[in-house]
Amino acid sequence: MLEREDAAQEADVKPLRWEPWKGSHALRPPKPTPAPLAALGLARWCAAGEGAREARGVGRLAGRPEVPAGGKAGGLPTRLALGVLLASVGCAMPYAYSFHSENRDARPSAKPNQREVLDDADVRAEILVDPTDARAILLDLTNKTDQVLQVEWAKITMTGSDGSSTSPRPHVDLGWILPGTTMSARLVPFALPPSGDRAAGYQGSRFELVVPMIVRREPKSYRYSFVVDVRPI
Amino acid sequence: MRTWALFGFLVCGCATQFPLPMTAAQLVQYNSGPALVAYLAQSDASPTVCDLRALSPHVPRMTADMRAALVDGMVDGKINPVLWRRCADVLLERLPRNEIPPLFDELERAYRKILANSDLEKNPSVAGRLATLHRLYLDRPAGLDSNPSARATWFEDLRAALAKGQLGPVAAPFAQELVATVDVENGRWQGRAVDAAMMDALAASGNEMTLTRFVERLPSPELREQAQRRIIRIHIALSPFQEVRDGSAAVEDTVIREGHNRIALKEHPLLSATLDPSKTVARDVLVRQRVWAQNATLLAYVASRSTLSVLPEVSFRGALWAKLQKISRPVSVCEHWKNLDPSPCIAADDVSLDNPVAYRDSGGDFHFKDEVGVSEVVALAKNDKFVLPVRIGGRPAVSLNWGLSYERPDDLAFNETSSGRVGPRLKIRVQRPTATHFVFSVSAPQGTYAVVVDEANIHDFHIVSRGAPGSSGATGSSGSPGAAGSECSDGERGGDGGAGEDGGRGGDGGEVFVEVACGGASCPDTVDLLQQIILSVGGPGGAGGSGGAGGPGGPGGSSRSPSTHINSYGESVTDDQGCSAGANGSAGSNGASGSPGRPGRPGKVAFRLVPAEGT
Repeated sequence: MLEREDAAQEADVKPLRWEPWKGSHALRPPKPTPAPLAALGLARWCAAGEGAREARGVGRLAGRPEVPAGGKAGGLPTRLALGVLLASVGCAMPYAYSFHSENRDARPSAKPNQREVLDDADVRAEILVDPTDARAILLDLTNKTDQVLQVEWAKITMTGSDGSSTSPRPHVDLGWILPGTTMSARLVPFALPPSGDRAAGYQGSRFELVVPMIVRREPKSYRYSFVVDVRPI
Repeated sequence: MRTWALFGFLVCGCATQFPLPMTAAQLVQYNSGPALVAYLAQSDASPTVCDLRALSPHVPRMTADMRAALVDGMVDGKINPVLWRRCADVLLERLPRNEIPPLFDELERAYRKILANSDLEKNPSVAGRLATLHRLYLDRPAGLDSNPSARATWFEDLRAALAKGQLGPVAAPFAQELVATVDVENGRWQGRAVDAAMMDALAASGNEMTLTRFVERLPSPELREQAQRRIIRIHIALSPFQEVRDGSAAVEDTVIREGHNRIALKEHPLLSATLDPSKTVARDVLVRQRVWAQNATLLAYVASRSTLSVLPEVSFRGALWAKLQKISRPVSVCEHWKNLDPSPCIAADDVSLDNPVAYRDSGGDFHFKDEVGVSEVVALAKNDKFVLPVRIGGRPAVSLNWGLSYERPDDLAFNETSSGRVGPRLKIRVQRPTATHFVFSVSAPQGTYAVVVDEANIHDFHIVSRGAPGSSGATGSSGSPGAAGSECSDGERGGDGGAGEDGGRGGDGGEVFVEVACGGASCPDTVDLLQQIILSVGGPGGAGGSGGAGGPGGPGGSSRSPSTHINSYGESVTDDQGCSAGANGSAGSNGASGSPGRPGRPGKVAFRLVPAEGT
């Protein structure tokens, strides 16, 4: 398992910081650091990026940019000026990720936010990868056999084409899947940068979700491959 | 000097650099935290260097410096988390009990550091590192923990952060799981006391995840064993082996007692075996010889990687499959007891590797000595490949064949050093155990040296007996200085320098007797080739002595001032006109340089064909 290193980490806006090593008295948001942008009234605008993203529906798969509720999009000159200003002050561009299955028999989702369906004679998998909002992989598995199907939940891996690898686990403990039934798992964590150059860098990258199972008493690894589409929002 | 070195280190803040690849033996010599990180950061590094009781080279003890470096090495992304986990696991097993809390304190420090890292919420690698620390803490053996006071503060902080919603969507589940684990340590799960009925219900739903928590964290050994039994029952229910399902109660007891379901090979002899190529490690081996020290380092390489690295460990678990008499399906090597696997299996100590540099560690995996002596270097050359024949229960099963090559060694040049003396007399035995390897064994006055040379490098390798250089001729005598001139007269010319002595003759090359065992190769071709690389060379003639320097001319005589007096008329009368100083004499000529000595003559190199050893 190799580690992906990215030198451009600093460009992203830091969220509120919890500093437990300083003791319980330090469990509070840090004081805002003075910034040159503050005088221009822009610091708050930039720092609010995460909240604003959610308000705009950013992070939804293949989501389109929307006008914030109750807000005005502004005319072209205004938006242009804002864009230039944003570029000049270094606010990170937000992106939405879409994970499209590369497996031969995959049925791609008809709409954003819907699961891709991968099927064989024994197992049906419905998968939605949401690395920015849920920061999870949503996996529904249906046991199509007449025997119990065991998923080795603790051995699931998600490996990127850059060599990065993580082992997301169900957010609650799960057992085997009875014949003819479906089990839903929310595999956490799986997070990717929501904005900035590092997010854009994932365009076209590939991930492989490996789910080891025991199907009809035989160990088997299901490999679900995805290519990533990253779009600015 | 050391002060300056330290100053330089502090000023530039440089990390210590180590020459790579670094073998485990070299790590032991460095014996520092940064060296441990550099070793573990290499491809194929073995976690057995962390095993304080390993047969192979390992760190002698876990100092505070090493502990901090090891943890930071993973947190900073230098050490592969999987390898790091294995190192940490073996440390927890082998460290003296009093050294465990400081290690957990270090892990806790790292955990807090990552949890507070904003990148955790958006970088899968950072989340992966936290998950590695997290799992190590949750899976640790019962009874091992950090200092109680530090732990209490840590969990208090975690609970407070969770209550206030201060953790992001990635960080929060980690913290929740940690906090929930404390309940298990108190014998409770989801608000209820853990009992047999709860475990039965979990087993009935195949919930190994929760039962595994119980195995690792329940407070009493009895409860932990009950959880183990439920996991084994799940595994038995899922087992493809009919005989396991049929004898479930006995199998369950066996696994509880021994950790696995070992097959007695006397009752179930080996029928056949195969290796699963997708799970079998494959490398090529490079032998880097130090001919004068008569030892070597074994390194590994693969076509897909541009750099050399250390030799990997080899595990046959899940890779080696054997069909055994009266067992319904192929079986592999027994898994670690933690896996609670009821599948029939071959005990690790029933598997052996016939390779002079391979050995099995206490965990059942195979390792290779990476620093070897010349006898092992020569033994390996008996095959074109690095052959790893696998035996099961003493019977030949399968064989792994890795590539084997020898880096071109330094020439074996035996030089006489006493002026003009004949080169050392050498007796060389050349064998060709395979078409691709030449094995030379050279007896010289200073000792016996063995070296293996690949056919690809043979033209660039030489064995030489060289006569000593001739003595240098003595420098000619210097000319005598010219005599000084008397007052007003010139100095005399200096004497000429003497001629330099001729250089001495170089020593002749020593006699070389070569016995050649051609093996399967063509003898005429082999001898032709050897004649080009086994040489007896005369020493160069000594340099002629330089001619003596001519003597300096004598200095000229001094001048004399005119003298006058005043006569009775008051007139000045010159008594002596005086004279000017004499010129210095010219220097004498330098003597002629001596002639260089004649080079020595090559010695005799005799070849004799002999049968190969063992024929």
